[in-house]
Amino acid sequence: MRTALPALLLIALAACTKSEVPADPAEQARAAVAEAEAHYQASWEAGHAWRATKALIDDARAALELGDYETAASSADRATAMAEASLAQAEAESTAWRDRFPFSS
Amino acid sequence: MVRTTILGAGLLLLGSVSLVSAPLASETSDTNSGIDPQADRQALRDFYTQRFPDVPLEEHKNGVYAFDEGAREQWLEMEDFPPYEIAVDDGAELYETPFADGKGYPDCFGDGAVKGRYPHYDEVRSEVVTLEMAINDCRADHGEAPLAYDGAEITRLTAYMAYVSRGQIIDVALPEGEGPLAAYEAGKRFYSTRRGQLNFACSSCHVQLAGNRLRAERLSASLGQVTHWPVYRFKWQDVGSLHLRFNECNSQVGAEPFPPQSEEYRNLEYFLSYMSNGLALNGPASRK
Amino acid sequence: MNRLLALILLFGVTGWMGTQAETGEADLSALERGKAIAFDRNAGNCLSCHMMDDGELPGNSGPPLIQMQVRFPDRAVLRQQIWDPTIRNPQTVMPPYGKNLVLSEEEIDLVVDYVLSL
Ligand code: HEC
Repeated sequence: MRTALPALLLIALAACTKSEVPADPAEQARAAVAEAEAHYQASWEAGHAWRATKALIDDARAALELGDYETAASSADRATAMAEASLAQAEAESTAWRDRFPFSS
Repeated sequence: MVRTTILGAGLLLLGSVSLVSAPLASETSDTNSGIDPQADRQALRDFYTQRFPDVPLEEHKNGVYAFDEGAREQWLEMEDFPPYEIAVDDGAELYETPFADGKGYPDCFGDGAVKGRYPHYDEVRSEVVTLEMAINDCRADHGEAPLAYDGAEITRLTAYMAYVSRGQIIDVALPEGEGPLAAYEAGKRFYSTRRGQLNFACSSCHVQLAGNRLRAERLSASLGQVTHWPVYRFKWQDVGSLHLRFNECNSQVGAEPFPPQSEEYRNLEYFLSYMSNGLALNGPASRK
Repeated sequence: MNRLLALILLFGVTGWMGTQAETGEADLSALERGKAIAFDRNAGNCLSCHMMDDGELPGNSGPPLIQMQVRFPDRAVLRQQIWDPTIRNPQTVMPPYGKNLVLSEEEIDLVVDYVLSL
């Protein structure tokens, strides 16, 4: 079983960076992307990564390159929310799968 | 918490009931807290017998064509000129081509009719070994570089080996002892775990919804899902492996797929193969 | 056909009008927008499982969506069913469109209104 510990540490780190609330929009966008990436990594390590999360992170990175910080930040924030939902799925499924096989009705 | 425990106890109870009637009751369940492959297999077979009363279990090796009459006719016509034939021929040629050291695949696999031996749990390596892995082991033993697991060459080789193995009966040894039971349980867990943004488990589609339609497509039963690989798919315009199909089924529910021959997919193959014990190998096959 | 029209309108208008896309979209009735989202394979994809409206090649894995106002007199119940159907039935195969962020909250509202019109 994979452990999500290192990635959780990364998230904690990213959270610290975020709590400093950098005023510069470029910095803010970069922090948002870093946070999304850490969350995605955690979901991947839990075996529950979603393709849509990855796609949003790719969008966010592309926007960052173009200097479109607003788009970058909003895509990254949505990616973080998605990764959180996929981690919730991993958590719920760690026990729920047992009720599912073989489905008897 | 409480609910899970009660359900768990219920499953155990179910398990022991079917064990009593099973001819080969073993001490498995005593040593490994409730992991009972025999009971699982029986329960799954019972499920499909109820779901498809008119379909002999053996027939599920033909996937949806076991019960989708319309699609079956088209498929039988297609099989008159099997689209995987070229892959089998190419595979035969590759199989007979010697390595740099003068030896070749026949030194590892004889006439190639060995598909029925895979997958199995290898106690020495402490992991599930598939035919694809064994092919690369054979190459390594003779100083050859490994083949890419998602490449054309290995799929042609397995197409040939599947072809000459036709008719062998799947007979995966009952998982017993710590390693095999853990691998089995991991495969079962993977099959039953919801994944992806759309929140589907393999079993959501292939157990719960088996026989139903998604859009125009009927859903096959898990029994028989491993008998006929590699498959020529018209969508792929080529033969592809079982793990490529796993990849697609993961992707279509929005989950990030795992690499071919990853531990996850090998354990899944092991579990599904044990479920299909008793069915005849009939690869390669063609599918839409 | 309506669906095709809706999609052509939706994409045509947003494509051509660029920055004025929002005005363009407003030209479509809310129900048509809800329908477009429900039918889109990359959004609601409801037809995958449900027979509904004039949708072609529907699946049969879920119940037909008819008489919805009778079946869901309380809009909130229907909205929750689309947002996270596992609340009502933990073993359902229906995707949790809101909880898993498949659709935005606004898109869910549009789909709920459209489905209630069936
Ligand atoms: C959203 C529904 C869905 C889910 C979830 C799903 N599949 Fe499938 N699967 C399909 C469809 C549709 C097909 C093509 C029709 C058929 O053969 O069932 C298919 C085909 C297959 C086949 C090929 C069957 C054959 O006869 O060749 C295999 C093997 C398979 N799925 C395994 C899996 C596994 C393993 C999982 C979990 C990782 C999974 N599926 C999850 C829908 C699904």
